[in-house]
Amino acid sequence: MKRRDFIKKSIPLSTIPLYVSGIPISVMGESPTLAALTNVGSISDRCLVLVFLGGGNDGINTLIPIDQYDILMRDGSGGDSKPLRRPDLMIPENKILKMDGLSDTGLHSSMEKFQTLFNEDKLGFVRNIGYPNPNKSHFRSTDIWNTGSYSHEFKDSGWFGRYLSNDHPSYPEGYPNNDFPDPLALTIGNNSSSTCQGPIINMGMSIKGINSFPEIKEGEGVVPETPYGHELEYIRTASRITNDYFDRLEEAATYGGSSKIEYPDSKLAKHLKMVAQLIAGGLKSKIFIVKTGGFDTHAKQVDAGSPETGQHPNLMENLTESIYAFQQDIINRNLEERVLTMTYSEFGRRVFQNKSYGTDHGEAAPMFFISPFVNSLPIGTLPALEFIDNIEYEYDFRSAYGSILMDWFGVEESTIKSILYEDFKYIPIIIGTRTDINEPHPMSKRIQAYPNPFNDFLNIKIENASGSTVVKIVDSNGKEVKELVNKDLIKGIHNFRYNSSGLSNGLYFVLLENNGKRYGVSVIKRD
Amino acid sequence: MGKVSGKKKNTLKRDKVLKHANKELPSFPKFIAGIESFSGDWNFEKAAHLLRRTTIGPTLEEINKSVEEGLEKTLEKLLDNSEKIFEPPINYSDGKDEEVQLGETWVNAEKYRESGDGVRKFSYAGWRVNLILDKKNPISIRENMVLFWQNHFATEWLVVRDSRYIYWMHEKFRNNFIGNFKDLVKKVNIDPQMLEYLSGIYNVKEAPNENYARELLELFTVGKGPIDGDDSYTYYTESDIVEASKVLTGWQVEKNFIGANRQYFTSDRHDNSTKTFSSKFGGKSIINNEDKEHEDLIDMIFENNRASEYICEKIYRWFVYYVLDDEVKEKIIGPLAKTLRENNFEIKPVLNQLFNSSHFFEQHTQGAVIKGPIDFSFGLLRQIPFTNYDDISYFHKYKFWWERHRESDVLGQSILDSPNVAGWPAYYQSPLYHELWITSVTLPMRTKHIKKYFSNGGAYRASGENGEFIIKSEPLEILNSIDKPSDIILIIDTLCKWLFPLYSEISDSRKSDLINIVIGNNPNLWEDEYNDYINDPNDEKEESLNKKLRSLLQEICLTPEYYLS
Repeated sequence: MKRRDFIKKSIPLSTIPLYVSGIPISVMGESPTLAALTNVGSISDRCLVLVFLGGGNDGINTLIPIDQYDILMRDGSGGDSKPLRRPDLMIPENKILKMDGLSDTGLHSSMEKFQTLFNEDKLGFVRNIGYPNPNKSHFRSTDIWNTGSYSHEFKDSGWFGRYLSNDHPSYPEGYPNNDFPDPLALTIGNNSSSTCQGPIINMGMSIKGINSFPEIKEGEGVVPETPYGHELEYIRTASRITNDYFDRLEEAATYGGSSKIEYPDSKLAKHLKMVAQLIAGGLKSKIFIVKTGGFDTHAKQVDAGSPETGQHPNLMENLTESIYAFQQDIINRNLEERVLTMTYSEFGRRVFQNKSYGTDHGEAAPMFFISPFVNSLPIGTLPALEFIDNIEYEYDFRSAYGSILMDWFGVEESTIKSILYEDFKYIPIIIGTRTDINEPHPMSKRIQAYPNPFNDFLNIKIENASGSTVVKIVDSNGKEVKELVNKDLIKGIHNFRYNSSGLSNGLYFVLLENNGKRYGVSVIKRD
Repeated sequence: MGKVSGKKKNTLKRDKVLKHANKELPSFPKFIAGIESFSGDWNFEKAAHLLRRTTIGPTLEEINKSVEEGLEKTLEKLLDNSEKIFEPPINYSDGKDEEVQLGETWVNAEKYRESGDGVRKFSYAGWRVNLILDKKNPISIRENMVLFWQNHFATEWLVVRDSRYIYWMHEKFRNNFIGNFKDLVKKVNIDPQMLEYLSGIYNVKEAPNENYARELLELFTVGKGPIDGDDSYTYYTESDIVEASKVLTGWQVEKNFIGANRQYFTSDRHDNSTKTFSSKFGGKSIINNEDKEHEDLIDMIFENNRASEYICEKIYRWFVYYVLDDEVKEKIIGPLAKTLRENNFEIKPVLNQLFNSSHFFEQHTQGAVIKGPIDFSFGLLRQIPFTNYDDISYFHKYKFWWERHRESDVLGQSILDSPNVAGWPAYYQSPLYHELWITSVTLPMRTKHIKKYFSNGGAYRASGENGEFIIKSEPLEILNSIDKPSDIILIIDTLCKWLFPLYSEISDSRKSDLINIVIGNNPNLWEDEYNDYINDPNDEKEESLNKKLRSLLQEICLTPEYYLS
């Protein structure tokens, strides 16, 4: 048995010398004690819901740069030689939805639900995500995103497929089994997404609905000992296994039961509803992929004279309402900590509008992330839009994927570099689930503890809402070691320094309880 | 744009196996028959087997005809390579292709303006689908051989992205489908698609590029054998690759040229030294012969027996079965390779010998092949008649054909190209081979494809002049090929013999289940309804009969046996 497996299975962790080299520290995310103490949950329960916005979503009309509003409104009527930008597409400034704590960015008026989620600290975003030498062909760029390749290379496996294949190298041999009775990946649609394509076989399945699954005829009868018999036997067995997976899906759907939340009336909403039902029913697939299209808004992106309505606003309304409903559904089903939702699109759109009230294919665009564990401080800065038509990427999408793999699924950096992107650079999209932090990330909030591992002094930095605030240190069994503060603190950033002399080496947790929520990070003391 | 050089079968992670697929090659208890001529009874079962393997989706009519005419005449038709003209694909979409008028072909036009080649790609794929679905011409092995060659000399549309190149390359295969193999290799050496795909255009004397030379030896002519020394692979060595690349230097493709034969040779770019090869090729040297030198290279490679054996092995895997053990090599491959050499590398005599052999027709060979996606999905449409769409516009025809192409594409086999230079893994990836076509993802798709095709509401929508046009399967037509169409037992018997490779293996209980689907508890139901229709036909009665046949055929085609050829 490999060492890593051994560590995953043994409890409590504090009895194992944690400073032996070679142990992936992220494994500690597996600790059930930490999970129980911080609601972070165990990695094996987590899943990713990937929402693909097909066609190329217009980032500027989504996350509106309030600080560059005037530039974007230039319509050439000032007599100056400055060319037209997108005056017909911009909604009135007073209609832009404000986001708590942000003065330079707001949301399109159709995206109320994302405003709600952001103000609840459940929506994060990274602006200007793209890749070098961008390709503006739908087919090709989607391929690049799904396979996680450079724009000049052609990979035949998907980024998530490679991750799954890395964890399940013998798949499909031996699957389904008791540990993994479910499809590893599920796409709602006609085909299993190329994102899940492994090096030899697609790691996932696709379904269109949960009401009826195609029953594959298994056939019966004795087979002769000839090539015909051999191949027939194989097909019959493959049919049986496929039917087994479908049975499992049916079981999960039934057990999950229909939702008590009202979803909008759209295909996307319907698909997300299905996903919630399946997860609630116990399906342990690691990724669920849903797609929604129509974002290729070359013409009539907004209604003439009424930029708050039209094609793109409708799409964003549907997107945000559906994701919000999904979020309420999973909260209702006590699944919130286990699900991370993210959106992506094959490219953004141009800064300038075209002659048909629309925009043409562009380059970088934002990605959105929804979960209680997202870093709700914005990442990425829009360049000055005055002189450009295409927005160059600031963060490579593969670094975003890799950061999710690292923080959400506990994948080691070296693995990420080898299966995904050798130039991977971590982006703090998710916080509160990592345990190997040396210095505070400039962007993270809530609670950080550094250096980690620590020797005698441990620095703790919190950002809290006003009101009752408790910061304490507990050991791996949950027993309190030291309470650092327990009173009403004003809202903001506070620093503490803990002198741990006398404390034995091992695993500890630093907990923050504030505003009805609890956050934690694990730390290690050693010599 | 960088090319995908040397992207071929990756031996690193190939030990993953589909759970119940082969973990090792299967072996069987009997000895096989040999290459000697088949002398058994020529009957329906044998004719069906031959046509199933050589063509795509043989109809009942075609098989009956073959029974009537006998093996010799059938082979004559299948292997008829007298010259034939094929109308090239056209621009079917008004205004989308600036260079080409509606209804005119684009194969000789300028490059498509926008990136991506758009409508031409759809046009090419659709055109190929139509050639396969065609039933107006006599049976031929031609379209199947085009697939064979495009798998053997695999390239990828995505890498060059110009459908004109693909068209002209595949035309070489269509015109030379069972002709001279040596000549074909020589043509491929300097084919523009291939030159672009495997970096031939970058191969110059100052900086030889080994990409094509490597694949030429490893995949197209002799194959990689077991390592038998430093940098040596039984049939060639690394140094042979280096020397071969020098021979191939100097070629480029004229981008602005239109039509076929865009390749050209520049003496200045060519390495004019003498190239010396390893003992695998008798230590032979090739002296400078400018633009003809690449042909000398092929002549040299083909001097020993290996090239003939290699291509015969590939032919065997395509048409017979993937297990190539010592017995097969001795009894079948050896003689076939000899025939190839003795006929100056003409493929036709080899196929003739193979399809005349006792081995081809023995029980051991029947039903052993899992149909690939093209065979399965287009074959179904070809075998079971559907609504006549002759009158719809070209735009809608091409759209219909393009959608059919997508159906085989999602099942893993695109008619446009291969996943990489090694071709479709089902034909080389040991030990699974064609078991690779069947997975948890593709099985439900096959099921859906069949159910959709036999749906009473219609399988596909096209648009005709008078609005929307529904295409449905119309199996009633099949009864024209059955002697006594009022006899349901006879009908079911015939359908099973036609659609299942080993009728004798279908149990009686299975057959009676099938009968019940049509007639339920009423044994005379079919006969009565059928006779009523004949005496006084109308659309309603016709549809009622069609419905019963659709249910029956759906049940038949959904059984795993239908996936076997």
